[in-house]
Amino acid sequence: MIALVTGDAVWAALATAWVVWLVVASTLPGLPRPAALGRWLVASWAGRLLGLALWAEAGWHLFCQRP
Amino acid sequence: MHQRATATPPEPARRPGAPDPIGARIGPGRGARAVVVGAVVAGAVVVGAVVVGAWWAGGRPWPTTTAHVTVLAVIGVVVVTTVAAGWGRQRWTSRTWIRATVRRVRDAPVRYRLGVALWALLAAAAVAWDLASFTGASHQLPTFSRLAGDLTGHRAGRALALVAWVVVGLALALAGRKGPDRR
Repeated sequence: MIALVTGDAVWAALATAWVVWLVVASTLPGLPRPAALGRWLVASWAGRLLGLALWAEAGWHLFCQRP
Repeated sequence: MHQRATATPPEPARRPGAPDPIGARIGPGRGARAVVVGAVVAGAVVVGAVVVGAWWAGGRPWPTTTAHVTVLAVIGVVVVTTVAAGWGRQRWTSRTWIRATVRRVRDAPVRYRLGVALWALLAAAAVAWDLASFTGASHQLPTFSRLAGDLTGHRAGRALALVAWVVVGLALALAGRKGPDRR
């Protein structure tokens, strides 16, 4: 049996909100889609470097800090 | 009516795959096929190297120097690839990109602007909660990395996450470039 703590509930709520919004933004017209966000990021040096900075930080956070 | 004789006699039928009359064995399409085969082999080598490398790196847990050096090396390779492959091939200058972004959000319909705001709000909420959990340092408040540790704590999960991370990095490095300038 997995013991859930307060933080787990908040993370679950955040994840649910992300998934719901991903589905809504991908299906309803007139909303910014995830693919558009990706295309926007790689359209210039500034966006590409911003994306790479976030990517590098995420990698360091995931693979080099306490699991 | 008599038919007039043609200047060149009709070409005799050849067996499929036989050399043409001048002895050339490389027919039309062979070069293109070689390029495709080369690309497939090169792609397989790269994919194989990433998978083997990720499996190797997956066996190095987070507190080890090897893990830190590996992640830093991947970041370095992706940054160098970004610069080498993207020099002179960005679609917009950074200044134009920033101006176009501001104009796009400012002039967009309310529905679109609300969508952008909601994306930003969700991202900010996740980052803020992670920071709050980190500074709280309580068992009741797990950080994102601690939750992700259920996956990255095992070799296969860590290798899988590494592959996904490398793929995203390479996409950021290589996607969206315009074609090379032909002057």
